[in-house]
Amino acid sequence: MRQTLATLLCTLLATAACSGQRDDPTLVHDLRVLGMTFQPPEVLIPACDPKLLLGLAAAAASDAGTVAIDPAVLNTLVTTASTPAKFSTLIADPAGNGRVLDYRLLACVSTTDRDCNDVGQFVEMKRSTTTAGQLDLDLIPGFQFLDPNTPLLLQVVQADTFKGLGGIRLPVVLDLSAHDTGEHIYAQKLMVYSCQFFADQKANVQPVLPGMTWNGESWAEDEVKQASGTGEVVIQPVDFSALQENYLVPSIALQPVPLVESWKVNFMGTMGLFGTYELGGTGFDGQSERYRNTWKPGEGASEQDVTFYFVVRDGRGGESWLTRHAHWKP
Amino acid sequence: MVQNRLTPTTRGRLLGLGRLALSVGLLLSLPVWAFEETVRRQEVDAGVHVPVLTKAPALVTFVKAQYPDDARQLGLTAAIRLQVTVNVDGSASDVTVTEGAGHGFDEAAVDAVRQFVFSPAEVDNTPAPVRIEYVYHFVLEPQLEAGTEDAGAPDAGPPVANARLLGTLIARGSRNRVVGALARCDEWPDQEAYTDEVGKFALPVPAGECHLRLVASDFELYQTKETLEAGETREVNYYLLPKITGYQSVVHGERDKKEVVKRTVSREELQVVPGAFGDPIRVIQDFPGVARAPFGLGQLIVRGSSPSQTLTFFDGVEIPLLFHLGGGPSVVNGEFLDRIDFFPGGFGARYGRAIGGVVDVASRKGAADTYHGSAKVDLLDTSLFFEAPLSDGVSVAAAARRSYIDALLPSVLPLVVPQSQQSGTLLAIPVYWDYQVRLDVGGKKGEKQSDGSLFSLFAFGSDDLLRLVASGGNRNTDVSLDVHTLFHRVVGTWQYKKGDTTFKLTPYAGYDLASIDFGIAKLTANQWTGGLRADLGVETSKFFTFRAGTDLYDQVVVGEASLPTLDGVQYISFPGADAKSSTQRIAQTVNSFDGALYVEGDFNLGPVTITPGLRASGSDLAGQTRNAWDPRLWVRYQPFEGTVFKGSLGLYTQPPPGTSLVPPPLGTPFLTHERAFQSSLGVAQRLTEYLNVDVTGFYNRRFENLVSPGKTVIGDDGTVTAYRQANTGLGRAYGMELMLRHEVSKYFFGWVAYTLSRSEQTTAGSGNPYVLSPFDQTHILTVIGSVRLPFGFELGARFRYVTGNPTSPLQHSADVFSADSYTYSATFGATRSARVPDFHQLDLRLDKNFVFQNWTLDVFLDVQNVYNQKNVETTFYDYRFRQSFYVSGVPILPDLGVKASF
Repeated sequence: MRQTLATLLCTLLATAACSGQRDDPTLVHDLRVLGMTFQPPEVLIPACDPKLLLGLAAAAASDAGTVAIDPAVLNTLVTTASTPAKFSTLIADPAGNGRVLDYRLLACVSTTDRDCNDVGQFVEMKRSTTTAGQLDLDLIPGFQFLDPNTPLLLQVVQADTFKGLGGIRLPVVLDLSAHDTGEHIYAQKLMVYSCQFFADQKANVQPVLPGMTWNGESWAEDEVKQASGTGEVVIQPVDFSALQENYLVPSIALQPVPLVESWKVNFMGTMGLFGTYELGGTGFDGQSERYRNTWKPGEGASEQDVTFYFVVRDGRGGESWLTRHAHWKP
Repeated sequence: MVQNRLTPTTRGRLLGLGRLALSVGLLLSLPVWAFEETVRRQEVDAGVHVPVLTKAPALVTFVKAQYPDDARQLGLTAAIRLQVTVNVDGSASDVTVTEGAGHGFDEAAVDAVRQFVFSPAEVDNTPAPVRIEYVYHFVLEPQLEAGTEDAGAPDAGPPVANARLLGTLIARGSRNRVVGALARCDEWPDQEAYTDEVGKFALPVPAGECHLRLVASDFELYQTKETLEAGETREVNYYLLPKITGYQSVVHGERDKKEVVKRTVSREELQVVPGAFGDPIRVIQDFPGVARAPFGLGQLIVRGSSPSQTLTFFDGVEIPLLFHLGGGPSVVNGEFLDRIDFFPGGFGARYGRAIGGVVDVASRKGAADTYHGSAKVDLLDTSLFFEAPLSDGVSVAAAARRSYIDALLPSVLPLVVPQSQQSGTLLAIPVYWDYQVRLDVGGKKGEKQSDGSLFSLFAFGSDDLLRLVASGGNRNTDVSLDVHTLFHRVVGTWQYKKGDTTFKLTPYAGYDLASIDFGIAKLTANQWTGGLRADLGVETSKFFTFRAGTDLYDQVVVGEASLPTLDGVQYISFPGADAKSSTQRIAQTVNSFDGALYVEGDFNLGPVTITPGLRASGSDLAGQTRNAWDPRLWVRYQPFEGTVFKGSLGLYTQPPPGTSLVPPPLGTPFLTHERAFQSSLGVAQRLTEYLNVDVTGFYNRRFENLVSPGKTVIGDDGTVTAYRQANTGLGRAYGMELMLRHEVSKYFFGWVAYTLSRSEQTTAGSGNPYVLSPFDQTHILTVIGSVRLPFGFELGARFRYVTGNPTSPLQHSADVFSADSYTYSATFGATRSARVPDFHQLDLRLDKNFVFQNWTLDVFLDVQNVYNQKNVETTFYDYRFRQSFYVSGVPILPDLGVKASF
C-alpha cells in the first residue's frame, strides 16, 4: 500500500510537474485550427433502408460498379450527395502578423487517413491561400469522385467498418501550412450523411452558443472587456440547456436509441490560461458539468488586447464558435 | 571459537572431561529437521514432488574427543562448529570445520566426529545422505579439590537422586522451546537429561545444591544454582539467550524435481529481502524470467506472457489477486507463509489453465510447542498473527490485517490532490483487510507424516475497497467512484499415507465479489466456486513413480449492471460525443465448469529420469464445450553428483473466462483456449556447499491468444455484430536465465538473477510483422544479499538493472487535429522500435532485533531507490504530440516499521 500510495502521489506530482512545463491548449500562441464546421452539419437520406447501405458498399466493392440500384433510390442518393454545404474553419495565428497561409481542402475515403494522402484515396477540393480568421467555402463534399467512375461517397461506405450504419462520415481534411516557420496542420472534419431509419429521426441542427458572460455580465461580440492585474475572471456561456436536442440513433440491432445532446465547450485565449480546456458532456456516471470556467491573465505579460475563442460541439458533428475580446493591463 | 578463559583458581578445581562436551548430535539434527518441515509441505503431493525429510538422523554412537592438553592447561573451553555428511549407512564423512577455535580443538573435534555413527536420515521415507551442522562443545568439568572426596565422605558412595528438577527451556525473545539441550548438575556429572520436542527435561538430582548447566546449540551457556529438598520436585522455566540469531541451516541431498526451473524461497528469506518492504510475495519479482512491472506494481509478467496468463494459487487453490488494490501489500500475512514455489514455465501436469507461469503460495500449520504471535504496525495498517497448539496433534494459526488509512486520511494525512478551481479536489481512500485461519489435526509441525491421515481446514479471504471522491469545481454534485473486490476461500485437506502411496484430497469453496459504483453506473459480479483436487502418488519401485489426479471446479457468476446505453458497444459512437442516455439494467448468469485429469510417471533409468505427462481437460463454459489435451515431457540427466541437465517441452492451455463467451456485444461465443508451446533446457551445478548456479534457456510460442477487439460482422439485414475478442494473438519469447544462488547459511543468503530475453507479438491474419511486446526487457539483472551481523543487526541490499521498456518513437512533422473530438493525434515511428532509458535502482534494508525475555522487537528501515534514480515509468506528451515527457517512478522512499513477536 505504501508503494501504491507513493506511486500514485509521485505520478500525480510528476504529471503536475509535466503539466507546468508543457504547452497549455487554452493558450493560443501560434498557428492553430480552432474550429471546423459544415452547414448543415448533417444531411439525412430520407426513408433509408439498411440494405441500401449494404448495396452501396457492394457497389463500391465491385470493380465495375455493376450492382443494381433502384433508379428512384439512386436519385435520392444523388440528391443527397449533391446537397451543398458551407464549410467554415477558424484559424488562429496570433504570432503570424497577418502572414499568408497555404491550404488545401481534401476529401478522402478513410477516417483513419488523418492527413488524407493515401494514394488514390482522396480528392483535392480546393487549394489556395488564406490568412488567420474565419475561412468560408461553399462545397458539395458528397459529390466528389476519385476518378470519373468512382464516387467518393460509395468508397467511404465501403471503407467504414459499420457500412454507414452510424452515418456515412465523409472525412474532409484541411491541410494548412506556414512556409516561414514550417508549421503544418492537418485538421479533419467529418461531413455526416445519415440514413433516416426512423420516422422521428431528424437532421441535426447546428449548435450555437447564445452568448457569453464575463464575471456574470453579458459579453457582446463587439464589446471589449477591460481587465487588469492578475485576478481571475469567471467566464461562462449563456445557458443553452434548452437548445440541446433529443435525437435518435440506430443501435447495432437497428433499434432506436434515444439520446440527448450534451454539448461540449472549449475555452481558449491569446493570453493567460483558462482553468479548464473543455467543459461539458455527460460522464459514464450520468453527471454533467457546469459550464463555468475561469481565466487567469498571464504573469509578466504586457498590456495587450486579448482574443477569446469558445468552440461548441454537440457530439453529432455540429460545431460553431464565438469570438470575444478584452483589453488587459498589468 | 574460544568461549571462556578460566582463572587459575577455577582451573585448578576443574577437571577436563571430554564427556562433558555433549551438546551435540540431536541438538543439530532436530532443529534442522524442524526447519525443513516448516519450509516444505508435509505431503508428498502427487503433481509437484516436493522432497521431504521424513526422518532426521540421530546420533547413535558418540565418541569423546581428546581434550587438547595445552588448552586444558590454559583452562580454555570451545565450541567447534562443523559440517558433517551423514551417509546412507549412518557413518559420518566430509567433516569440515566452519567455526574453529585453534589450540588443537578443531583437530580433536574432527577426529571424534568422524567416528560418530548416526541412524540414517530418510528423504521421502527412503534413506538418503544429508548434510548437517554439528557443534562440538569442549567444556572443562569441575573437579573436587584434591583430597576432598576422601576427607569428606570416604564411605558415602555416589549421591542418591531423591529430588527431581523439571525444567522448560525457552528461547528469550521468541519463546520457542529449546529442543535437544543438555541439562546437568556439576555436582553429579553422570546424570544428565535432554529436552524433548517441547523443550522440557526431567533431571533426577540429589537433595541439596545443584549447579545447573544448560548447554544448547546456538544459545549461550546457561548456569544457575538450584537447591532442592529431599523428595522435592521443582518445576522451573529457564530462558536461554540465543547467540547471534543466524539463518537456519539447510539440508541438502534432497531429491531433484522434474521441472527444469522451480524457484522456491523459504520464509527465512522472504521476510527480509530489501526493497520488498517486508512483503514476502514481492520476492517473486526478483527471480529470473520475471519482467519488471511498472511503478512497482504487482503484475507478474513471466517470459513474455501477459499478467493474466500467470496463475496464482494459495495452498493449491486459485485466488484472483496476490496484492491488495493491485500493487499494495500481499493478501497473505507474511507470517503465515511457509514457502513460495514459482514456476516460470514447464510446470507439472498437476497445474493447468495457465500458459504463462504459476505461483503457488503455501501456508504453514500452527506451532506445536506453545502459543506464539506477532503484531506489526505502521502508518497505514496493522497486522496480527497468532498460533497455538490446542491439544496433542491439534494446532491453530490465525492472522488478520486491516488498514486504517480511511480513518486517518481525511483528518491527518489526506491524499488530496489539489486541482484547479474548475476541477475541484480528488480524494482517494483505500480500505483493505484480509484474514487467514488454519486448523490442523494429526501430526505436529516438524513431525514427519507417518502412515495414516492428516486433516486441515483453512479459511482465508481479502477485501479491497478503493473510493475516489471528486468534489467541488464545476460538478453539480460530488462524484464518487467505489471499486470493491473481495474473495473468501474455505479449503479442506485430507492427506493419507500408507507405505509408498500418498493421497491428498482438497475440496474447496469460494466466493468472489467485484463491484463498481459510479454515479448512475453500477456493476456487480458475484461468483460462487466449488472445486476439488485429488492427488495420488505411488512409488511402485525405484524405477518408476506414478502420479495422477483430478482438478475440477464449477463456477457460477451472477452479474448485474445498471448502465447508460453503451456508447460504442450498443450503438456506433460519434467522435467526441458524451450524450445523455437512459439507464438500462443488464443481468446475466454464467455457469462454468472445468475438469481436468492428469497423469505423470517418473521412469528412473540410472542417471536419467524421463517423465512423460498428460493433462486432459474438458470445459462447459457458458453452455459451450471445450476440450484440451496437453502432453508434456521432462527429462533429467545427472552424469555426476552436483550436476544436473534438465529439459522439458509441452503444450499448455488456458480456457477463456466463461463470462467472455456470452453473446455479443458483451462477449464472443466462439472463443477457445489460449495455447502455448513451452520448451526449456538447462543445467544446474552445485559449486560449493552453499553456492549453486542454474542456467536455463527457453523458447515459448504462444498462439490463439485473446486479443481485443474481435471481428465486426455486418448481417444481411444490416445489423452489426461486434465481437469483443478473438483468438488471433500470436507471441514468442526466447532467452536465457541465470540464477547464481547462495543458499541460506548461518549468516548470509543471496542470489544473482539475470535474464537475457526477447518477447515479440503480432496478430494472426493481420499481415503485420512481429513487434516487441510492451514489457520486453532484454537484460534483467537482480543482485540480492542479506547478512546477519552482531548485536541483532541485519543488513540487506538489492540492486536491479533492467533494459528500458519498448516505446514507439514520436515523429512529429505536422499537427494532426480532429475538429469533431477536439483532440490531436500522435505520429509515431515503427511500433516499439525505441526504448525508454534503462532502469537501475539500489534498495537497502537494515533490521535491528531487540530480544526481551518473552518477546522480540524488530525495528527496520527499508529504503527504496537509495540514490534517488529517476527511472522512467511512462511517457507523457504535450497536447499536440510535439514533445514527449518522461514520468519518473518512485523516488527515494524510506520506510520505518516495527514488529513485535512472541
